[in-house]
Amino acid sequence: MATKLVLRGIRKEFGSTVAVDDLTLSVEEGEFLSLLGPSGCGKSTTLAIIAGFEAPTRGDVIVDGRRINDVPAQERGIGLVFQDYAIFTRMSVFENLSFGLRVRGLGRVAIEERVGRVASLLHLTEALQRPSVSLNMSELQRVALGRVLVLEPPLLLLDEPLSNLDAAIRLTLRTELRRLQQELRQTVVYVTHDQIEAMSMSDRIAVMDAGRILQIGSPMEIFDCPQSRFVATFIGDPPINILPASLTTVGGHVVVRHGGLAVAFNGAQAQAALTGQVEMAFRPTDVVVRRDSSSRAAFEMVVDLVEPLGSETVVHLRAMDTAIRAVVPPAFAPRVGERVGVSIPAERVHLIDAASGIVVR
Amino acid sequence: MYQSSTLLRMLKWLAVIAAMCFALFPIFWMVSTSFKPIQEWSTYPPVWIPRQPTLENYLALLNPAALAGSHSIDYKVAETAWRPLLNSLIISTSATFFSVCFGTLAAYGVSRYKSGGESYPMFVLTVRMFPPIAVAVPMLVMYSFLHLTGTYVGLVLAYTAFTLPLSIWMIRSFIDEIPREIEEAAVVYGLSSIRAFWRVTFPLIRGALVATALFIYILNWSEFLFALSLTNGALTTVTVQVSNYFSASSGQLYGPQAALGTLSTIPVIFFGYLIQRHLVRGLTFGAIKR
Amino acid sequence: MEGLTKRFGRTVAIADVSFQVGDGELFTVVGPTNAGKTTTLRTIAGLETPDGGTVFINDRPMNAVHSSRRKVSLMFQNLALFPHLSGFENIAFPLRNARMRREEIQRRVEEIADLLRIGHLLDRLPRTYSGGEQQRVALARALAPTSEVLLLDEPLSNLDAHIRTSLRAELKRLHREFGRTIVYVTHDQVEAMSLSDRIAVLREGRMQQIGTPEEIYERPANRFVATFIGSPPINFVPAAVVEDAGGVWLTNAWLKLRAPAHLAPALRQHPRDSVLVAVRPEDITVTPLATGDRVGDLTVYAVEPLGAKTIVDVKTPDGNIKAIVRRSWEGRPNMPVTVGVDERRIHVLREGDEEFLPSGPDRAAPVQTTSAG
Repeated sequence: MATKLVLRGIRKEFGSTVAVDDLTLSVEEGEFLSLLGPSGCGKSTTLAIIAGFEAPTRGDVIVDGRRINDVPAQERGIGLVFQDYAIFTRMSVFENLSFGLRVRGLGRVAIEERVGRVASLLHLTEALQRPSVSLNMSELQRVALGRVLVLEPPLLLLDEPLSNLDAAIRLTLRTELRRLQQELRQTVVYVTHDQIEAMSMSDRIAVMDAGRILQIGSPMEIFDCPQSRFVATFIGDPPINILPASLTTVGGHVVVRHGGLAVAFNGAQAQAALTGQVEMAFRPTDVVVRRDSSSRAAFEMVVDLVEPLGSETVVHLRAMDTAIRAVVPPAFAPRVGERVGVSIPAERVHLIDAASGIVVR
Repeated sequence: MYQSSTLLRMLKWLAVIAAMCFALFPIFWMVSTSFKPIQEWSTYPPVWIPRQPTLENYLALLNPAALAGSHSIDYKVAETAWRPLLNSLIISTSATFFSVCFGTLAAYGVSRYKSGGESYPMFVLTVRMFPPIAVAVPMLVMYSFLHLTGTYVGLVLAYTAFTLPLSIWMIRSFIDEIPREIEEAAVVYGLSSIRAFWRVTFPLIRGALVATALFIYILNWSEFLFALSLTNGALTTVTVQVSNYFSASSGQLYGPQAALGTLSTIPVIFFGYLIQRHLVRGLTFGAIKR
Repeated sequence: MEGLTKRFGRTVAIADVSFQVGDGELFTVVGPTNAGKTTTLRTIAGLETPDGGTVFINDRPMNAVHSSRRKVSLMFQNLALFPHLSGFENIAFPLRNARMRREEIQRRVEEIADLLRIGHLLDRLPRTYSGGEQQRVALARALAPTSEVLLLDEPLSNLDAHIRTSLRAELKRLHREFGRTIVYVTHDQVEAMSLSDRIAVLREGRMQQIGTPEEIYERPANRFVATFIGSPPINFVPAAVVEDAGGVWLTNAWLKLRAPAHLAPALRQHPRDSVLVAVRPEDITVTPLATGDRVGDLTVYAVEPLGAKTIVDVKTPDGNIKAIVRRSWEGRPNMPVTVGVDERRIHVLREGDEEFLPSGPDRAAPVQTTSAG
């Protein structure tokens, strides 16, 4: 698999603020890579640098092995779709889709063939002759996407293309977009602040904060093995539980404890070098909640709040100064004030160095 | 690259300076002339800075009796300019006050309740669509019938009527910018609609009202046509007084005219300077989610 | 505590909507855009005059009562903080109008500010607040007076996902502690489900269903409610009703379900009818076919890992269906699969109908699965 895009040591300053700081990244041919982070983390600036709208203060942008820093945006041949799609409303869908090809002076037959293929992939075939003003939001966004896809760009950049859409449309377009990308083997760099979008569509995710990439990996790697507190917190909803904890060694086992909530690791599992303050982190979905609170391994907690979501239920549990969230099936039907037994499988617990925020286990 | 952008910046500055010279020249000329003796008023080549600066022109305005013996200016105006200045002040101030007051009330109705229907604001604007001279004569007839000619009330009425459309339009655009939910919040939390306006909306548009008032004030202050036609000479405003400085032997008395122009500009500039901090927009920022 | 019916003449924003909210209840009105949710709220507050119907608060008709005397609090969707007043003055505003004593106001504002952790915002103007801070101050202003009803219009919209999740829980906790009557408007079904004592689903100004979150999710009244509540949305699979010696069946080219006990009586009334089977994504199991099995009509269309669970899109001859499967599910696009449906959990409606066929009381509860692995 060839490497499509390389960003090497990219830095971008706006006046005295550093928007992107020493960013290095490579995207393979046919890969779907997401830049994920909160607003102001530098993801959109990175995209603008790839597209050529911003010149990096330092570093190289390399596409297909060629350094393109000095190539103006319009000559880079990179496809772009934004959050606010600009469709030519006076044109039909077909005219919109074929616009770029006509500008490039392709023949009529070639245009119809390529537009037809993209339209069928985007389920727009029946809408081709309709005027754009009659389209709904989902169709408009698909036309915006199709208009770029017919040009067969070597690289497609998407900047939050789904964020202005209704929840239901977003859900279906998410699936369609991923499916389309896989069928066309289109290389995509996708910018989003929505961790669910990034998780569900990407081959790899680059989690960004404050102009830096904190971690790159497959969605499940990012979810299961976060390398820092930021990544652990940013991914997953309801958010991961993080509790300050103390470490003690009990007969070859390392015990991590927060109040009455204790998790024992065998010696090999825990890092002996750990000193100083630690935090234990575990996902609400990994908390095992049982009705009988008498079991010796379980820690007794009280149900503080119940949030039914339909297919699952979020329970807030409390004991003294310990408060955690757990996800249980709706049939568990917890009641507020009820006592339950809580345990957390050791293999699902991360340990975070409190000072640096780095996940040490 | 570097050089061309420096050049570009220099050109921009040159253009700005040229435009400023063009705009400010008449003011410079007026101030300069007000200090010139009669010989320097209209000579060729022109005198830029008075060679023999004199306060004679100002004296002619404010205390003509003191000049009676000198004859350096052949003035025909025996009155001082104090009276016209005071007249202008009274008329412009009251007309501005009424215009902004009624304008605010009308604009509020138009903005919030669509009072008068959708086309009402356009309809109001038609007052400004024909030249004032077209109504001056009918108004003169009306005024003499109503015995309003040459009275303060008459001019204040005329000025208020003619600036009201502008007041309404300007103030309406400011009220439109205040989300109505802010007033509704005040109502839900216990205020009557009128008090909600007074406690919430009014403080938010206060700066805008002051700006409108300044604009209207300048219009009133410099009005000439009505001041001339509706007064019958019984009431003289500054603008009319300027045209009175005229003599058979010397023609236009540019010096006193320039001096009165300068004097009458000062209050407006001073007023503008006082309120400039109110001319800041964006007061509503932070009130609502965008 | 209230029973209200409202009709709007010109644009029919809401048509003949009635509901009652109990004392201390958190009642949510949920629906898509233009459902008439905000209009409903504004009518309760007295900012809109109903063209028909009556608003009651504490059994007293309110139509002729001015907004300022209804003793309601309204948190506007755009918050509508007073930009020229400090946080303190914003929160104190309703109290001052209620002629509360100065020391009393001071005490009350500080108490509320403590509760919502906005003490540091009291001296500042709203323009210096972040989005979440604006939201909290607006909420504090709504909580401060001792109003009979608290009306909240999309109070959590436009916030980051994590802030929203935690504010949501905080709001629910606040409600429990205060026991105030709340009418809550949102377009987000997750918010409605997680917060409410009861939910009213509104669509284009018409009431679709009123019930507890569990009732709405488990026994939706019609097709719209079933689709609107739940994410990913419920699947609709076309099938025919067939009766033979073995019982009543729901079948199509790729699925054969024995009609469950709770539906069999109703289905017997409609032999050979075309129906739609509604099934929630979590009630579908997807199994990859072992190599050598006959290749069926069903293939994986897309796999979407979400972390704790995975959504699988299965391509069927009748369109795609979504299933929620466990996180470790192994499958790739275009892989042939078989699909299992928990028939005890289905709903059925006749093609062309909006309402579901009546189901008996013995419909199964959600399946008990272990919560973690």
